[in-house]
Amino acid sequence: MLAKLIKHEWKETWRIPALIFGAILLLTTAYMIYFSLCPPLTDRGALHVGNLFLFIAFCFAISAGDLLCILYFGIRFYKNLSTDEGYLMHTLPVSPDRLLLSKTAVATVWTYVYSLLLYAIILPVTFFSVPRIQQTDLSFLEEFGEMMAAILGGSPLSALAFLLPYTLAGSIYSIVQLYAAASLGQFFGRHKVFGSIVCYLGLHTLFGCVTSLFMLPSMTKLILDTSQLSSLSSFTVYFTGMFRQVLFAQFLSNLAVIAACLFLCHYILKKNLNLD
Amino acid sequence: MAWTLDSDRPIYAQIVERLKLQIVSGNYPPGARLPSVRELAAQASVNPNTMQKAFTELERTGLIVTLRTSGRIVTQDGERIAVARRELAQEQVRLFWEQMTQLGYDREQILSLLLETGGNTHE
Amino acid sequence: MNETRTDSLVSIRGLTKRYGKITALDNVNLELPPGRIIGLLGPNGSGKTTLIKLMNGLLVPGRGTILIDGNIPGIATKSCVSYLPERFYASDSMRVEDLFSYFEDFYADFDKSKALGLLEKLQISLKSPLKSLSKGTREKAALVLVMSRRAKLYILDEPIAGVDPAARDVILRTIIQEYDESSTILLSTHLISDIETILDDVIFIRDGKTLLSSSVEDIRSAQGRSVDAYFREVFAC
Repeated sequence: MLAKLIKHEWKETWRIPALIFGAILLLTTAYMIYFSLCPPLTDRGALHVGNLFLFIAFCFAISAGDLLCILYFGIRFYKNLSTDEGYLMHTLPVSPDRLLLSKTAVATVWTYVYSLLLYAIILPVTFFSVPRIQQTDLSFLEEFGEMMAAILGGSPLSALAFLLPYTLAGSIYSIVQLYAAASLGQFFGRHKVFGSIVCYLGLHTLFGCVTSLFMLPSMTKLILDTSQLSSLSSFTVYFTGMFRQVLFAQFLSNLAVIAACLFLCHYILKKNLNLD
Repeated sequence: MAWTLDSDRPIYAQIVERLKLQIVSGNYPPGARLPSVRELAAQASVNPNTMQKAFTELERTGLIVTLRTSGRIVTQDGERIAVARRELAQEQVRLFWEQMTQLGYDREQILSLLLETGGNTHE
Repeated sequence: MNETRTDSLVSIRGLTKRYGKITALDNVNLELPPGRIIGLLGPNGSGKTTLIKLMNGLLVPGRGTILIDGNIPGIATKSCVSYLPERFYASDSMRVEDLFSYFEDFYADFDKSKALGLLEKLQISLKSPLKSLSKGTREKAALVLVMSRRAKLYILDEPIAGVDPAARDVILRTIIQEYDESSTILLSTHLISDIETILDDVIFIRDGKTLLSSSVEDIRSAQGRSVDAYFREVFAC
């Protein structure tokens, strides 16, 4: 039954995310074509303001696509389970956890692939854009890259091994937060949409605090330890090590929040369903 | 179209009347197969149990016959149909008589009016 | 339909449901036997839809129990109850075929060829977007799917409200022709005169209480008038 639910969920939701995907790819292509037509800057130190704005706007646009995609799945969850469409979904002979799982799975696949796509676009685009915004030495980017690799585990492979599950947890985290808010909206009688939004803001703040709490020990340690450091090279080692711990703590807190949200959604769908 | 039924009177009795009329008028000729209970109930927009009851009543009076294999047919007994026709006619006459009496006609007046108008319509 | 029956298909005991301070259902007790067409009659806002939603597991009961074929509403009852809601439940982008595939995929008792035959008979194309159909046609399409299941209980919430007379005839005919004889149909409406000839039994409901649960023939012979006329008197409307 889960497979069939996923099939239907996919069939009914693929259009909008695919549209966003297409738009992003189109935008990236247009952006790249424009920048490759731009002559490289010759005047050392001069800033090409127009291109800088374009670069920032582009980064905003593709991040907005990510948000839109996540938001779409949140709204879809609400509409499909809490409005008239729920009359069909909740009378299918399937358990609420199957409904929840199928929706989470499909939304996760899209947002996850989207996030990976963002990585794949942003890095090359940045490398490509910077020389056309200001003529600079690109070595700082290399240093940055090295530092990131160090934080994420040293080799590109181990960086990937950390980044993939870390991003996945992030995607699920964003999705289930919306799902939990939409489910909590059930308790708001006639103002379910409003209630869902309020709950989302509340949950978002709460989970932000939870994440900070998780990160607190390693952050504190990071600050305390750096004060005792003498040389710069040992600083880098320490910093990357600690930062890795911070990211790892965030990863764990995301997992905890995911579990809490899924439990909450399931509980409400099972024990407190009250369709209008 | 759904049959026009008067919901103040038992539905099954009205169905019986209606089916009788259709048999007598040759709409369902002797030996003709009748639609199934379900089909006829759907046509008339009545409960299948009610239609079943009407069929049972018609079977009891011998107007329709249930065959073991091929459903229900109208009786092939012409005599039986003639009896039913006569019953329906008598019922019409009785009603007519009742209403005419209510209008204040006596026996003689009714008969003469009947001959008069009956003659005219036959022309 | 008295309380001591043990062969009931549906058994409802002491069912109460409140929305805040409003009591939508107040200590309802009902036994529905198999093989009957039962009308759930009551004015708007009397609790008909609340009762039906509880039977379909779309609301959690406040107090009391519902047993359908021996089970409380859940996966088991959803497999044997075929439900036509009062609301139209398909999403905007759905075509008839999309709704069709939900029935095909999830209900083991769905008779695909029967549904296809009926849709063809009623000239409803599988490719039509549901949004583009008239209310009557949409209702017919959903009814075809609901009636094409070999369910033990059909629950039809206001199937003829707001549709034109021609569509209404088709809907009633489809119900009579297609339901499984051993199963029960629970049909809610506030338009009694249109459907009283197809009912075996009626349940009157007002202000969340059941007033009467009786066979239609009993009412006609005891009252000497139609159920509709009797209903109008009981509810004084």
